[in-house]
Amino acid sequence: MTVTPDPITSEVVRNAYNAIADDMSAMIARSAYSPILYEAHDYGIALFDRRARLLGQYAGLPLFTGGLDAGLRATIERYGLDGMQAGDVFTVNDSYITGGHLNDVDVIGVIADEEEVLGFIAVRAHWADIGTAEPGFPVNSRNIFQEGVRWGPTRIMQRGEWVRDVIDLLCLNSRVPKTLMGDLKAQIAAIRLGAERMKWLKGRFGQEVLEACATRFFDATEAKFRAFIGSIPDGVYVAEGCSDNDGVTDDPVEAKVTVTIAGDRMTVDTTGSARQRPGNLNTGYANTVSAVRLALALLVPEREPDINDGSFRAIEVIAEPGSIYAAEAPAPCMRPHPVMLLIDLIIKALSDVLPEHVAAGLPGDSWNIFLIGTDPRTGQGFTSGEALDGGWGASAQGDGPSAIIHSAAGDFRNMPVETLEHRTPVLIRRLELGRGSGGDGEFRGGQNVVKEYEALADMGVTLHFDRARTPEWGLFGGQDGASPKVTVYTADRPDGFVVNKVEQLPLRRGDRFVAETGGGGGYGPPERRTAERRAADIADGVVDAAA
Amino acid sequence: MTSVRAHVGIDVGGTFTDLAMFDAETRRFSTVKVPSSPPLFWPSVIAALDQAGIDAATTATVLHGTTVHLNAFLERKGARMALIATKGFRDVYEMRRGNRPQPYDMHFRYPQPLVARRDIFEVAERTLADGTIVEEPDPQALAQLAAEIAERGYEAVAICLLHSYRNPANEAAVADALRAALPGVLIGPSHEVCREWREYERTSTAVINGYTSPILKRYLADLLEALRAKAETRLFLLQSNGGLMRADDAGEKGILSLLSGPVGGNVAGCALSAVADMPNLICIDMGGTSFEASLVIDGQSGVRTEREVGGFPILAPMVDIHTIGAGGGSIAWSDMGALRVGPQSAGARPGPACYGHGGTQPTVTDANIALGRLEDGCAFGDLKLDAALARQVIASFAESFGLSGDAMAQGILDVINEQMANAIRTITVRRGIDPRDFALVAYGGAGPMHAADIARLLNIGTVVVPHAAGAFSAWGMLQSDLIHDRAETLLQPVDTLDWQALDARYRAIEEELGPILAQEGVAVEAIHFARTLDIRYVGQEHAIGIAIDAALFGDPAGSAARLRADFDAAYLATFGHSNPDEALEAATLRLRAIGGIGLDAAELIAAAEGSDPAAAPDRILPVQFDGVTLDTRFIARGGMTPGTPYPGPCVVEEQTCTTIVPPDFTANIDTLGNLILRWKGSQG
Repeated sequence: MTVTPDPITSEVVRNAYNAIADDMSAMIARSAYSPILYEAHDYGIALFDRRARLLGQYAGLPLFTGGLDAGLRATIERYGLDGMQAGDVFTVNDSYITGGHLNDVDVIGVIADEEEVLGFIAVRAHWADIGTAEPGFPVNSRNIFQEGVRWGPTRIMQRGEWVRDVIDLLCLNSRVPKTLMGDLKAQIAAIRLGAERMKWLKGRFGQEVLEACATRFFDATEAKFRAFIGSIPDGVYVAEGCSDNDGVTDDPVEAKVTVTIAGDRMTVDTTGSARQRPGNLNTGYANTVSAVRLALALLVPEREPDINDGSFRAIEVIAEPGSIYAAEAPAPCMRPHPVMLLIDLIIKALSDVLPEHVAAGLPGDSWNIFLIGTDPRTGQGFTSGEALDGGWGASAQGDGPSAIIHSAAGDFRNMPVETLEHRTPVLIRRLELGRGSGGDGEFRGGQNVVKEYEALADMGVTLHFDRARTPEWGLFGGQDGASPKVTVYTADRPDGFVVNKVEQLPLRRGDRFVAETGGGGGYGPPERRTAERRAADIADGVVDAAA
Repeated sequence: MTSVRAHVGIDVGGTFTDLAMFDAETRRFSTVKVPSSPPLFWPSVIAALDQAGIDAATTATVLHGTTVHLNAFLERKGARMALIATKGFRDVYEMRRGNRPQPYDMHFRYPQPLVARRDIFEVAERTLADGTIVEEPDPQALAQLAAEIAERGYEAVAICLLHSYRNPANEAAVADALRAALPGVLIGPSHEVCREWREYERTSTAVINGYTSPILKRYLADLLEALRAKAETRLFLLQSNGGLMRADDAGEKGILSLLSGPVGGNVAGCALSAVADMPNLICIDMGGTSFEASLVIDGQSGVRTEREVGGFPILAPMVDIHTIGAGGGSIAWSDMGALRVGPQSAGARPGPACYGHGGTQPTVTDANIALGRLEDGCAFGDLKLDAALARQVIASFAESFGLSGDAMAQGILDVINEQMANAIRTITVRRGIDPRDFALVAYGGAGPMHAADIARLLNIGTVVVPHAAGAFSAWGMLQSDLIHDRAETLLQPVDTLDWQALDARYRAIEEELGPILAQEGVAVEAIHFARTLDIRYVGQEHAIGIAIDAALFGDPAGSAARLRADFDAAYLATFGHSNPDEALEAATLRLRAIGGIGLDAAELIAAAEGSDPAAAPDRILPVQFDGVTLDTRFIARGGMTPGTPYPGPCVVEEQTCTTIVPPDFTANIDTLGNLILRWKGSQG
């Protein structure tokens, strides 16, 4: 079969890479052991060429995919291309390299045939337990050594055979070694599938043609992104906000972003943000880069923009070493909330010049709840982890959607009540959209989630609820959304008390807590909201009739 | 069954209604094609029966596939309905699962829910995860609720209460109260159509059932009345799972037959699979705007127990039909210098440029005729296609790419073929199935033109363009059986599985479904049951269905060992690894009740009418294949000699479609009248 001309073949090849990543995703969802993988899709997949250039991806959790190149580059640097063979698999989770917290583990497969290394497939997935001080995500870790086992680029499979010593070490350091191995095997099975398909592509087109295609679609994508940036008026745009506290001290954690548009280039500078903190809201630089990439992709008007090596060539990301956005060892990095805030702040900074593109304040946190204890029905230990949804910001296109996952997480799905109650001795008394929780405006912010839990056994609850100090802001006269909070009702304190971040707060059987997430920001002045919309708000209980 | 003179399969499509009939007395098979009659559609069923000569003197079994309720759902023209939820959980339906499948879209929105929040009511009641009821619904509150629903004039009410998959008593109590108080309103509790956990997905299933059932019910009532006036008939409806059900009750559970129309081709694929001895088939249907692909595996429809339709999840067994926007009318466009094709379609008006209705954008059909794969001036319905118009728009479009018109035409085909191959990968590779183990069956207007190229992309060696390709779905229906599926969430460790209790549970369902089949007219000896358990490793969510031999239940140890071995083998085949020392969990029990009523395919084929006599003569025309112009033989399918190889390149013409045989393929008519294409590059 002859090779057809470049623009067509390159489109075929571009599609093929993304289709491979999608197929791999289905494989992981079907064979993983952790609910956070199969139910919530807490993973990202990327295909790279031998020079670590992004060919295609499954975005799933877009903050993951945006940082997968960093771990791969470190792995290539450590082992060298010449030392790599088909069937080799590496892993890395060091936060200062990958940017993510230690539970987010990169597994990197070498794609090679008899002749050469063709490229790499990297899968970042949330591993259930890698030996943190306490089960779940610690809220109050003070250094990275309390956050689990940390490893730099490490070979775990050589020519298709496990490197047993390393696997044994990992399993010995996890509370749930079987789950860990099940999830790791799911990642590797997906990589095998992707490897077969990449080799088949080479057989069909030849490596030279594939490389020519990649160059071509990288350039085309770069041109598109540059055209978008070029359409934004030149200037320097600033936005500021803060995370509530770092889990160890109660001081707010300031975040500042300066976005400079100059022609078709964009520079994002986080200078002015807090120095790295004693609590664990710090992050590695790679995560900051990933957040900036995600913000740009959200701003691009295309609903499904092409994401590959060409997408982000026009941006530069500046973060001061030793700051929360480029933390250095041994800063704790378990809960990098400022990264999520950064995405929203970049959007806010550009809102005056891109009023039609932007949305008001987006869901500001993953609002995690961990329930930990022993189930009296079975005598078995349990750890249940959830991320709650919030209200999305309104925009020129209309009201913000209610109860949806934050901007960094994408295809992350919430935990069904029926699944949660089956696995955990807890009763959910209500799960509702909070009335009046979306910021008022010409277009109203999405509603938050109100979820009431009753403990059916003694247990501990770990909470991470941020963005009370910087609620989801309104834009152009729209009002802020409701602030998140958790109110706990115990036998000792039946009137309840508010606690947003806590590590294993003890609950007795019959104790309750009500979790309320953040409401989305409103867009445009409330007086411009039409009478029809106001009437519908009341009819559908979006607000109370009296409001 | 009572003796029946005529067996009739009727497939109502958007444009045409196809009928296939086997006359049991004369033992003759015939087909009829009439225009469809939107928006009611049932008149075209009667018109087709008229043309087939069915009258008051006939006794007929009518097997039917319809899209009326699916279309009403997709066009958002379903019933005005209410939803009832557990108190405190009214918003579960609107909240969905909170994910954003397009993570880079700042303005992502789900489709508007089918039920507005103001139409969702709460009932104070509660069942726990283990099935314990802690609060029963208060009869007085239910009476009040019924009054409010009556006042608001809903046509349908869906009910989905927490943990009703485990214990449906509260849900049934609410349904009973409403049925008693609201005659004429369709009351649809979730447990009657779905016994699986996850409250959002089950609610969505119940809502779609409520939204579509009144539409189907009305349609079937009209059709049944018209049929009664016409002849002695018994009407059966094709369900989404590929089996038939008695039409008289089908309107109560519209969700079960939602894919009644699209599923017909797959059902025909099953029939073909049996008679042609091809166990594994990929069925593809390519029309003007869309491309549908589904599987036949070991002679059975490839079924999924969960899928999305129209942006909403459904928990019910449905044939795994994957649809993408790729068809003859798909438009080629430039995305900043990259060639894209579809999903926008030129539709029927203006249609492709070659239609001569003023289309200015190049389409897939234009590319086909520009390369000579369709003859200039050939008829397409009552249209004459103009190759010059096609070449003109393609050439001017190609300029911006710096390409020749011919290269662009080939490029358009390459891109669309790749998309269709990727759609097939979605239902094969992505599910752990190797497409190379399959033959590709192509039907529908445009499918056979592209089938060989798609097969090559997937490394598939054999393409089948079936006998009676025009009425393929209707032909398949004649060979279908009655099927009723039941599933129940189990969630029990396999180690401690009580096989006796499980056997009793299966038996109870069999005793419920068996009489339904008997009532539908199936002879007792033609009723059988298939038991399946969805198994997974403890801790996993997704499970694999493993067939359970009913005879094994008496031997628990043997059953467990066999289950273990079968599951590990299936897991290994799907994922390339398995964990034989890991504990297993039985997630869901499934029972399928089958009532054999289908006709024998071999008999049907023996009874088939002769070939089309009014065919064009053989001729040689130039056609471009991958940039090379080759003298290509155009042959009438009816004139081909069975058993004689026809090496490509050639183009096989018949009334309803055109088949391209590229230079690296050889065509053949088999003993059953199927057109078989074999790829010379195939490895096996």
